[in-house]
Amino acid sequence: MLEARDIRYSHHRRLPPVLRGAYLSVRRGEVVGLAGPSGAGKTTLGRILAGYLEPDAGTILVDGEPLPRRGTQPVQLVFQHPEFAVDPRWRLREALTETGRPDPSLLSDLGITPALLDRFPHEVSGGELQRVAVARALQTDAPFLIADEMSAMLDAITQAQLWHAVLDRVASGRLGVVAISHDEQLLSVVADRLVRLEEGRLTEDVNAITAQSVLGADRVIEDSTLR
Amino acid sequence: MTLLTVEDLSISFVQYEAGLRRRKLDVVTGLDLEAARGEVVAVVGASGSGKSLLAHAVLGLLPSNAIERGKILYDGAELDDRRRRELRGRDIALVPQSVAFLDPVTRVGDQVERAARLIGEPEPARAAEKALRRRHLPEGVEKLYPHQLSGGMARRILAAIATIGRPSLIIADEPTPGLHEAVVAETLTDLRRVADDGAGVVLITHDLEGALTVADRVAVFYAGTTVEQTRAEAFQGDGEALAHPYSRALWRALPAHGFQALPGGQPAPDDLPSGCLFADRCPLVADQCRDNRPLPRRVGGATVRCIRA
Repeated sequence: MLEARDIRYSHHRRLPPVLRGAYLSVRRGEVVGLAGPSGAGKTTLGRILAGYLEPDAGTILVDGEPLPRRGTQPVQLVFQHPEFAVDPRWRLREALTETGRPDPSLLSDLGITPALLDRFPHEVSGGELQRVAVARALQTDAPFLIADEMSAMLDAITQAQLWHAVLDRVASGRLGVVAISHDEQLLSVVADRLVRLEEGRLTEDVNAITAQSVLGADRVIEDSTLR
Repeated sequence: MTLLTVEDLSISFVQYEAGLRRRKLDVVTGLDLEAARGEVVAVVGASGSGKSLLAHAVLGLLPSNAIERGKILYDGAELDDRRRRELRGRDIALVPQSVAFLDPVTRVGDQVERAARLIGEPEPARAAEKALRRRHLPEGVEKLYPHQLSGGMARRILAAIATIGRPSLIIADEPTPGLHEAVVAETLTDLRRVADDGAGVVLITHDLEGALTVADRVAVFYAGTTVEQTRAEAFQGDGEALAHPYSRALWRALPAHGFQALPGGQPAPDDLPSGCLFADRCPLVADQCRDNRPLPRRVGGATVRCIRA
């Protein structure tokens, strides 16, 4: 299980915190949708869960252990703009093999051809680059994936293709996912339950609601079973 | 009356790699589009399907190593390089993607005023103020810097700059990704209003569902080709009113309409098949599909490049 316990974070010590006491838990075999308006802290929480950001207070645990300092991370992050996720001077094959040996069946599920892997990032479309970014994350066999607006820049067919590859791994119990998106239509088909992060920055009142609405799985106010 | 006609446009790039080895990329082959005054035409398709290149071609912004063939007509006459330069920014305007297209260290009001001056407004300050009020932007917004604008306000500023010369044709390039639902709706409604006031609007987007809320017609692009131009109403139910198998697949891949994936991906521009570009992924593919590229033909109310439609 991936757990966020009492996470507090502010972007600057003089700014009000974006997250004050956030709790979230994700099991293998489930997709938790994280919704809410822009600025509510969805991306920040995602980055903290994946170990990209150090929280001011609180802990991230994977099966009860803190995130490892080195080695393949158990929580992989795929974000909206794959251009920033790969080295522009590496061919896509190098970008892919950096995280392990490519699995042919995964590549075919994601529509990645060997010819595509001979190219540089600037030679392919955003959709093709995102396929590689998803393959890079999934082939590590990390038990958790944070998908932060993973398909927001993609056409519907590519979006469905990438999500089906992810959901296959969820269905087999190998993977748990936090799906961050402003597209609630999408969340309603991919997520097992939905957690809403409300505007958490403006007033004390709203912050109080925020702290509650991201309480753990069993205590989320607007947690609803979707699938 | 048709304002913009793009007929069988193709765009190739010649690239040099490793010394003098040349490589030709056929990034656009057989692109068609029609847009009339008073209508919103949505251009939808995957990234890499040629949507943005179409905009760049019409505005005369293609790089110098691009080779362009085919026909672009504007207002009944050929849109050659000279006319593109004359008309862009005045009669043909581009609404760019994001706030990143604004100067981050110049006040918004000055940027709108500069746009007014560039198109030769005699009183740029007044023209700028009128443009902002027309977009329902509150007084005082002139004094703000781009980073102080909300996503929705930034869109309206970009639209105010693009439309300050009252253009007849507006091309909006991916105006909505990453925006909150309410801001998306506001941006699209705004484009609809511009069309209702008499301009032609080309809305380039990968968000088919959003586009359908305001579009009269839809052009579906795939791998640099227009596979279908059809009425927006054809996108409904199970997609049975759509003529091209790719259009149907796109519709049925939407989360609300089946979330069905399609194996494979678009062919690469330096490795295009000689027949139909969609043949490798098409559920209806027949032998003759692999021989020649299908030409556009009328099927019902649509124009479609498919011999099986």
